[in-house]
Amino acid sequence: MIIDRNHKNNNRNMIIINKMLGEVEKPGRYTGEEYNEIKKENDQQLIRIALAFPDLYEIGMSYLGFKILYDIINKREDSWAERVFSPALDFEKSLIKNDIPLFSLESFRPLSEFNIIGFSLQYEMSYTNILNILHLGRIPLRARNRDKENPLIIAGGPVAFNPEPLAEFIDLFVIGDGEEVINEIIDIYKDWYGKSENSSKKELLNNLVRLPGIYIPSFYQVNYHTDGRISFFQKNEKHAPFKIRKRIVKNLDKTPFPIAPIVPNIDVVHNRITLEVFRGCTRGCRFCQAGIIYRPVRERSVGCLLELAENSFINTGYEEISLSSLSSSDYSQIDSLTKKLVDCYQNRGVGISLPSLRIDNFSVHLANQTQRVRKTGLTFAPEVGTERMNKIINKNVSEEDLFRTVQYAFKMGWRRIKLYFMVGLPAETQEDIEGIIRLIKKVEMMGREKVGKKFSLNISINALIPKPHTPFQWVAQETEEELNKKFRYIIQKIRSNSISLSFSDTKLALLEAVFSRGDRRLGDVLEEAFRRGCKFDSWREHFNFKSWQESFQKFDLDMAFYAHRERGKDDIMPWDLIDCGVSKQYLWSEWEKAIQEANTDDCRQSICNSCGLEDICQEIGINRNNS
Amino acid sequence: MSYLYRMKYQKNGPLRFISHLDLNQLFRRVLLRADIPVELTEGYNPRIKVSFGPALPLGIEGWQEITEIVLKEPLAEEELKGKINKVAPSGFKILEVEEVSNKRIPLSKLLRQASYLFYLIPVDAIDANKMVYYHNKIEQYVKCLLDRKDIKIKKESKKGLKEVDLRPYISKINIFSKNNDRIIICLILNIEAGVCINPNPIIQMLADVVKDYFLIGKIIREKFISESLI
Ligand code: SF4
Repeated sequence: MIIDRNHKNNNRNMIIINKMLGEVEKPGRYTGEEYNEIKKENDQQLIRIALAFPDLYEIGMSYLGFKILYDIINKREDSWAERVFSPALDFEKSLIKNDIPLFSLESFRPLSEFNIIGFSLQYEMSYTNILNILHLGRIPLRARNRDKENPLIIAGGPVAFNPEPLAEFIDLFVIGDGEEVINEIIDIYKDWYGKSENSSKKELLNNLVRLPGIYIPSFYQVNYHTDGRISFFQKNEKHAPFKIRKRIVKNLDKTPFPIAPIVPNIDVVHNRITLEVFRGCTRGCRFCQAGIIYRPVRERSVGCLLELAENSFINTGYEEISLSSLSSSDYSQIDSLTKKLVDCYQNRGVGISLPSLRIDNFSVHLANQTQRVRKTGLTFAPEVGTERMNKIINKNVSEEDLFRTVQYAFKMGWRRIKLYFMVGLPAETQEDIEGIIRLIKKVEMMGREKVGKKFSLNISINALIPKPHTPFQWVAQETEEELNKKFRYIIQKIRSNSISLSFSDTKLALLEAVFSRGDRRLGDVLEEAFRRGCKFDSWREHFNFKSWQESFQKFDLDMAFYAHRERGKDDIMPWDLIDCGVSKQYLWSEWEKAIQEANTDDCRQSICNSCGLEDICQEIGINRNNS
Repeated sequence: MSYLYRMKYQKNGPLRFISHLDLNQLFRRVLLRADIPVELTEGYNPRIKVSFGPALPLGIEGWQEITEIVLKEPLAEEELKGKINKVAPSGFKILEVEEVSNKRIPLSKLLRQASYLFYLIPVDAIDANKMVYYHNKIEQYVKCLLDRKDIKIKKESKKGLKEVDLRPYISKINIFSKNNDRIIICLILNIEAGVCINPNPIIQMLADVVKDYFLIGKIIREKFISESLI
């Protein structure tokens, strides 16, 4: 593993790194050299890109988006995409002790020597890890302290839809589907790099900002009212647009898909083929950000999926194919696809799995096709416990649906059920909490009756985190005390050996709510918290709330302002420059309907709701008859 | 009909850092990629079956590890080897394949001893005399060690600390000094009732004799010694 790397991390470092690997937990995280890893020669001539995932290898290697970009970039002859992940604490210590900069897995090259570093933004609580990766890679944290000698730092992913808390650190955000725009960025970069001797980083950014879907935070200035709300945005560069429309890939069948993904040597969270069946979801749950920012729904054809499945299998040898989407049972051809896959693979030692199932008998029937004997467990997300709340969140699943589905699952032989609920929703009353308890008890009773002793029920109860670009973006998050009171009440009411209950950490939920809807002033807080040692915040054992509180105090910012303040209709949101396709006006009307306890139908089953994407939907032929 | 194949393989490079469980997974995927007609388990969710010799502790290189697979159809030994190696990841390589359908002895009975090699590398360059001195020092220690009735160590297990006696597992310890640049020690351990103990505690004891002057370099499991050879 040392060959050909000597000029990057030099020989001495390689010996040290080998020794370090012998001393840390799970060294397989840091060695690279997995099957299907891409290595390139003559790398002096290549545009070198590090795809960075701000969490452990096991987590990052499970994300499809990360694999898609790796594949697209490495298909280019002029570029080389490598990977870097957050080191675990023991390896980080070892890097510091031995004075070794954080390096990529492919070439063991220090991060600072890359042309471009692209961060994958999947959840807010990974922000400190981003700073830590830059820091360990010896790259200045703030965008303004980096010039053309430093790597260009870009970022994309769902969390980029409110880029503001990271505005100080990231040079450029990609909004929306990254498949096409990544090539456009590299083309422009390469062009600039060829003449970069006489050119500046600013010039590069000015070339890049002309691409649709690119947000460059340093090109804007944000002004505030005295009460802390935003008064207006101002742009510093002529070509910076005032609306950054997200990028949308129109035809998934024609979009590159990684059929030869890296097969990790060690176990990772999702060690399987991930087959993206469709993108987007128009069920319209009002708390759900994914349901808005990934619109419209774009399906892959069955033929295309079968071909992708076969190629991926030949190239990886994975024993599981997982059909991924926001709601698998909503795929228009799901029955025939599942059947074909099961027929094709079950005698070859390969299983099919269907995460994210809808609550109905059809979904149980699908699951039954894939798990005929080994019935591991079924997961459903009723979210709420009353009819009224169902209407508020627009989840059109009734109590009867749930009971019928669970009943059917027991009949088909399942013994383990997992249910997700949410509390802290707008206009929630004691009755809604009682509703959740009633639902849990009823399912438990049914389980005991139908399954008996072997029945187990897993309940996960989470606090609402109001997200940008959702109808609930105006809502105040409930305080910790209120949430904890509800959690305690539920615990008190539900005592049973067959039920295991888990709740979200309310402090973590608070911080997540702050950063979800945060503005760019939070950059200072973020850096401060990082300097105080915060990292891996989403891992309970690492989360240090006190350091966060102190960091907010230092900059005189108030968590409650971000989390617990109800926004007004005309408030300017920090993410207002980002156009996710669904209009703010539509979101507001959905919020009003929520308060009126009125449902909105899925535009796949009914008429177009005119959410703002009409032009695209028309172009790709969605809801043609109705819009 | 089913056909049993016993294979010798290498586990080194990046793969010396993966666990036995991970190796198991990895090998199953290699077999699926190679499109080997492996026999599947019964039932609706058939899975492929492989069996491995004793686990190799993390960080140790394996030069001739052993695994067995069962095929539905016979395959020429060389072909099987070629097919697997073509799709194996870096650090895994099949060295030898033997069809053993007629001599089905479980690996746990077949393998009697495991032979380990490890290097002690001087921290600073030292001369020949010094080398001889340290060499002898270790040799003396080994002699005393092997004269002992028992060598008890505390081992962490699921039920807290457990005491194990290492003595019955040690068969031989040989010491070689190669030029002036390293001491090579060969350690042969008995496999008792299928248990192949972790050599690290013994290696550590030997390395501690010359603690401040030498570092442990590579550790290798060189080979297994099986029934028929004894
Ligand atoms: S524009 Fe109409 S059809 Fe398209 S996603 Fe929005 S509501 Fe659905």
